[in-house]
Amino acid sequence: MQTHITTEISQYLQHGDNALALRRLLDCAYDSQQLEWMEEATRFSQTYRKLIAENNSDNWKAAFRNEAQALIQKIVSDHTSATQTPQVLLRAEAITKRYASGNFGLQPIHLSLQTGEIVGVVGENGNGKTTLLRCISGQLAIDAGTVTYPQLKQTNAYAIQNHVAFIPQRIPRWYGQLKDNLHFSAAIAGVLGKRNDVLVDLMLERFGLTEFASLNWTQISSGYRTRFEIARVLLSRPSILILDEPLANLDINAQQTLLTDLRFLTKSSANPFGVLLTSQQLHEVEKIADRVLLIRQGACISQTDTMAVANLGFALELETADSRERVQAALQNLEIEIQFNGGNFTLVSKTHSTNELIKHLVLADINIRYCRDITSSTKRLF
Amino acid sequence: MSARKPFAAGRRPLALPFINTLDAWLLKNKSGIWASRIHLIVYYLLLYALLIVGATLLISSSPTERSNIEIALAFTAIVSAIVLIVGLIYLFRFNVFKRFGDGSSFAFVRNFKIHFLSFLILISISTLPIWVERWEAHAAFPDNEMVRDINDFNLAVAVMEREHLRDYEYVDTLIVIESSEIANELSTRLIEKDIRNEHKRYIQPYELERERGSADSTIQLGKDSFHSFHHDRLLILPYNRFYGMENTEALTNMDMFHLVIRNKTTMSLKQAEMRVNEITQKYTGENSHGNYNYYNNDNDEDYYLSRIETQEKYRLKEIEYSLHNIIRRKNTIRIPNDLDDFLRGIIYSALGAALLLLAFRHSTIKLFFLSIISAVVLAFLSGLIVAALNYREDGAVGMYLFVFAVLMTLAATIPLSTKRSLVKGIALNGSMLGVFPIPVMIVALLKEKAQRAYYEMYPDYYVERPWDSSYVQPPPFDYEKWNQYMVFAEIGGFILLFGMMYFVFSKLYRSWYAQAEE
Repeated sequence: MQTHITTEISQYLQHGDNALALRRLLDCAYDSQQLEWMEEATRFSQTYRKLIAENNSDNWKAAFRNEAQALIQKIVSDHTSATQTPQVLLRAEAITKRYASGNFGLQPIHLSLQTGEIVGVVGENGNGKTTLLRCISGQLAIDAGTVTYPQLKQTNAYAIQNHVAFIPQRIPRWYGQLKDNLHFSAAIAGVLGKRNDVLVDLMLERFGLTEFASLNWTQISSGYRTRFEIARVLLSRPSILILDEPLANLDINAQQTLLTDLRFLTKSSANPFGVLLTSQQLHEVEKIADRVLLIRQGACISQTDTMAVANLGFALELETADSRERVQAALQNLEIEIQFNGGNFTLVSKTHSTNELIKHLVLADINIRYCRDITSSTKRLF
Repeated sequence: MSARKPFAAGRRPLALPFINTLDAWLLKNKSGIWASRIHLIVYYLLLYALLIVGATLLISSSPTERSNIEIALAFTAIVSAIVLIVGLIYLFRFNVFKRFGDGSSFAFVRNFKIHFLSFLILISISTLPIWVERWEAHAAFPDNEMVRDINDFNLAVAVMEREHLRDYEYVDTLIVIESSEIANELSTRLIEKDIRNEHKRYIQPYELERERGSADSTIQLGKDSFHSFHHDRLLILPYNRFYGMENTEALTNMDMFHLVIRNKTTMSLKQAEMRVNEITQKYTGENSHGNYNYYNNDNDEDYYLSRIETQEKYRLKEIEYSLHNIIRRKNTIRIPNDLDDFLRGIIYSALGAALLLLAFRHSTIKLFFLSIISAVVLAFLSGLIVAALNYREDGAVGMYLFVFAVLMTLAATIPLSTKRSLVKGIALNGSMLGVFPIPVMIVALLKEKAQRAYYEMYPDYYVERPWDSSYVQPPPFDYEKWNQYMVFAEIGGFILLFGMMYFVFSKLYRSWYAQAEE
């Protein structure tokens, strides 16, 4: 039974996180793979989405909560999902790539990805993130090493292309109406007839595209194009989703929403998949990624899951209007190293935890505008 | 509450609701067919056809006037080219192949057939002005009516000019003489006696057939003498000059001889005048021969007759011009003579375009254009080699087959590669574009060899010697049989193409396109 999702949605409803509850409800319906529930969840979403977005009266909220609870109960009572055991989707061993023109080359990189996992690839521009992704997706031939896809029975190029979905930073132009393209993608993936209709409507709702269904490429913003592309790709149910800078065109809220959605969707019981993504939004990626790879000049210099905190010490990123002297005074009795990059301070200590550091800063009445524990973040390596 | 907008309702210009319904159904159920856009292509081409028919009818002139079909055809060709470009951009933009979905060999061949059909329709529609004009001419001047008019006109004029025609030499007297010496001598004497008596001639037996062939009809007078009647004597409107009217129920010269000279017709002079007026009015839009300016020398029989013959009288020039225009409109494409070439033109054009489209849709843009350039360069180089080595047809066909074999071998190695190779892609495009003509070229080569063998066996095959009883006339070269073989070869070309598409090309294209870039 999907008790965890029921509890999760109930909590969202209880705390008034209605938009999130609605999205998770759609996920739950999708996971059931029952047309009836998918249709009902879509209708439910269509009914309340605007009211939730406008949020200018409370009249509907009680009805929304009750109906949502009733719907989730119906879906969960009808559908039992087996617990998915994570499966390795991709294994890259010492892959290298050097372009015929230019001096850039990818150093031997090891990488693996399993169902339900999100791996972030970060690094400065021109350091090989996109090259790595294209090599792994089978779009670019590697010079050495191996990329294997253990779940694939056939390992020819065509099977790999069907197994791996790659969404480039610059999304290729598509033609016709947004909705037609979704129907088309679903149909060529074998989703036909009414199922096609229902799934497309669900995806439109899930990614907030319903209002844009009849628009074409030129009529929607680049953020919505990214959402559309993800919806389109998910309709073909790939095992591996590779996204190159998906956050580049999104506003801060949309970034949060997308990353959270990816987090949820990878765990789908109906279609679990793994995500490999690159981004410049380091903190956002670190929030949802299971692992983060830092690429510098074509080499992977760190993976967060293997980074030894003990060796690097605790680190706190701090933004304050107070002077360096005041910060130093606040932390004067601690074993600490303070760096300032012109905007933020980075406080590093081998002995004091970040909580201790914050406590000292608060007690010294330092005006903290922003602080972040970057102990495990690749930010420290930039 | 629902914010949904009705899907696919009237969003395409000029699309009727059923087209949108069909479009939506195909999209969700038959995505391959939907992506080929055949339903929209057929629908819009139908509208385009109606437009062409309407426009042709609108700008068409009277069938008696000179046809301006060339302008209509040029206009249609330009519009069709625009339709084609718009079609390529708009209709074919959804490409199943490049989405890594339904990539079956069946879908590959089906899509090709659909594109081929689309081009067939488009190119056929481009010829619509010809058929509209033909239909108009037939509707306004049916063949049987024209024959009746021409017969009536000939008869009526002959009745009106009976007195002048009675003495006119409308018949040759032919006397057959076995000995060429005697025939020559008699002919010489005849010429010396009266140069104008050319209607009496001495001929040899072998010439008789030729005379019979060129005459409207012949009557045997005695054992060795004949009257031969010629159309250009009594028939003022020689309709059998016109294509398609040779076998009509037309009056012959001999009919005219009996009807007019032997007074067998019941047509009175008044009736004849009325009929001439009527026909003149019908074909020229003006009245009769009344404005004929008599010349002083009209009393001279020869001048007068020549004036009729040279069509100065009875508005003959204008009538014949009208008839010519009508018949030309009816026979812009002569059926059956031109039908084979016409159909081949349409089918081959559509096939070429469909193959290019298929290659385009299954290649990258770079590969497609490199393939075209390579094809031009290969053709040029092969031509040079064939010319330099002074090869004949077999050399050219051999060179073609050799190049094809090399390209096919290269293409066959695609599944063994891990990287997408441009050279192999070019080889794949080249072999797909080049497979259809192979059976046709082989049959053409065999025909050429058979023809050469025939000419070597019968070096004087073209000489007719009916007077030589010992000479066995060689059997004519059987063009009919070879034309049939050519049709079989063309069908074989299609079977070979479809077979290769299904079993080989679809898989190779899929494999090539999915491979990693270098």
